[in-house]
Amino acid sequence: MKDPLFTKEGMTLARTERWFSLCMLGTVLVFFIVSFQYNFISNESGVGAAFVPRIILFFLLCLSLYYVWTNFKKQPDEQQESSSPPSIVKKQMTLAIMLALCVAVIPLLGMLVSLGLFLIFALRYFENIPWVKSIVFSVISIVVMYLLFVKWLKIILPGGVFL
Amino acid sequence: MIQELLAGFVTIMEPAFLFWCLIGVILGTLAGALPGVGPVTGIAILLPVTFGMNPISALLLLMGIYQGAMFGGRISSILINVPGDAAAVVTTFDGYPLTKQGKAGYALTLSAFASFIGGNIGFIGLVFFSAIFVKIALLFGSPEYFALMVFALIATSGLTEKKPFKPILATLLGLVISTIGTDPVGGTERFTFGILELWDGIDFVVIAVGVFGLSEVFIRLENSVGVESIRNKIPFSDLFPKLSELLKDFWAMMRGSILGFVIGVLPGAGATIATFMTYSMEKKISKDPDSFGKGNTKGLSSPEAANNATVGGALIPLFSLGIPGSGTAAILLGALMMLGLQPGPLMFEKSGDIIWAAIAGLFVANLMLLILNTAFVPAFAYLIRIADRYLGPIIAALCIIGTYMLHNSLFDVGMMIFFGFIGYFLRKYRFPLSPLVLAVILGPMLEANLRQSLMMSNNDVMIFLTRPITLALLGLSILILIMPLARRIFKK
Repeated sequence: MKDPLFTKEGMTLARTERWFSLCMLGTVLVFFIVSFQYNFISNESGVGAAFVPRIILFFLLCLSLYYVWTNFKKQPDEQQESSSPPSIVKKQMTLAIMLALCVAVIPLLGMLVSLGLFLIFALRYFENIPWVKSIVFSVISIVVMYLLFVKWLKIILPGGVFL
Repeated sequence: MIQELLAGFVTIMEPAFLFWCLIGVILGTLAGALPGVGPVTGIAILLPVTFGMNPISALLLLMGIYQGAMFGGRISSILINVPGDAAAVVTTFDGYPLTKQGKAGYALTLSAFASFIGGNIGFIGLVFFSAIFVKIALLFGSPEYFALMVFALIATSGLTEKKPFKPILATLLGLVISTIGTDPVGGTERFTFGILELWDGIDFVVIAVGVFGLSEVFIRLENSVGVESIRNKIPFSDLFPKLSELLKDFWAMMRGSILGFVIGVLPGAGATIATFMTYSMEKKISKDPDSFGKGNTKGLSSPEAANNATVGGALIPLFSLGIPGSGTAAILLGALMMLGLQPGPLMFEKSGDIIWAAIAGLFVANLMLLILNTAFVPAFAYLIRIADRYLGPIIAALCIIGTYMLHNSLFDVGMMIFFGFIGYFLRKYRFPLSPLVLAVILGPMLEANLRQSLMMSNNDVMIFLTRPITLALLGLSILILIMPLARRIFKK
């Protein structure tokens, strides 16, 4: 009996890989379809803009279909490697959100302040470092980054409202 | 030639000149170690320091920066799995696993020693073989470059491995990613989906930092108990490889150096192709190929030697013909012209004393690099031990700032985070990252050379079969493809 894609017990690595293979197939298909907007052969320059990508995408489409098929063909197995436990997945998703938020507030707070706040919360939440230590380390890191990138390399970083 | 070289050494043996060489090595190493900076940016940023300087001092400073920056990228690759530049990607394959085994110091010392060997082979090649290699380099046109790119991709894609499916998929994914942006010949936008920032394509460094660096941060959340070995105190004697261990990899370093030097001579080929091809070569000839990617010292030492050997190679077309052999050499070309020197066939006649002093400076910079970086190994090893808990967020912050620095663009930072997710899932599902990354780098050159070749021949594909070097390279590529099949048939 084949395994359903969704399961209440939690997904094994094989099951999450099925989703990954489907996403890959979908993306490749979109690119393949979009490639028909461009010329395969060009009058001016021999082959056109679509020549190389469409050939590559054709092979990639075939391989992606095979990849999806092999993933769905796999039978459920009790010894299958487990995907990450929910606590780790929660941490990883929190990290992803924190990274996105950090980038989103850079125009407002500036690069260094945003990175400083990211470091404080990341060290506290992911590494369980006490608040004081996290703040001290983050401040030192930001000062070093300022001296290195702004003073020495003369890189202009976004200053946000502090400009 | 020997006389001029000795005269060059005598010239630079003044404290002031040696001082500037040392400063160059230190600054270059620091710049190269920063993710997103790399040798090209490092030299470009530090170039203004040479304004107003005596030409010999300026050239020694630049040689020091060049050598230092080439090595600097290895430091972040080995310690935190974030490649400092494109050529440093290969260093992450076996350098970082050594760090996870508690051998960060060992890896850095081995890398420094291999870089020293490679730098010296490049130096010897520059002094004695310039004339021969210039003639060979001039024979390379678009068809030859296309064939070289195909060979490099096939040799490193994993097509010949026992399970080639995922490496092939990764290679093709990388090639598709490389087509995003503007058509290199016609100028048409491709796969930009209306996003203006994608018209210039996706910078390779954005992809590399995301796929290697940021994905590592996600992986570290899963493996936080796995790095316990790094936190244990390492005896001083274990920080450095024994002489016998260094000598064990000597022939791997020599092979890497020679291949790196030859590839470095070809304009546009560069250290990245040299390091990937060297790594692939070592893996293929190894008796234990499965150990590559898990801390095999040959997987570290050979590409490191190749990387620094390309410096000597890249300077040959620059000094002899005025054609830069790499991006870094292109910046050096500007620097030479600012100093009143005109690179080309007459440069040795008109400014021979200065150029030979610069070439001698290359050797001295190489030696300084070995001494300095070996001396700092205990400091690096100590740093990685005490800072381990802080590394994840620091890596993420460096990835963000390093990526932003490329084009002052938050879009690049967003793309880097996206590729961080992609890299995480690719690693989870056991896709190799090296074929993907190499395909992203080589894809545009492959396509441009293919289309230029077809334009040259009015779409006649025979152009790839009638030119000897092209035919030889394509023939080698086909041989590599059919060898595993032939082996299986003969085994039966």
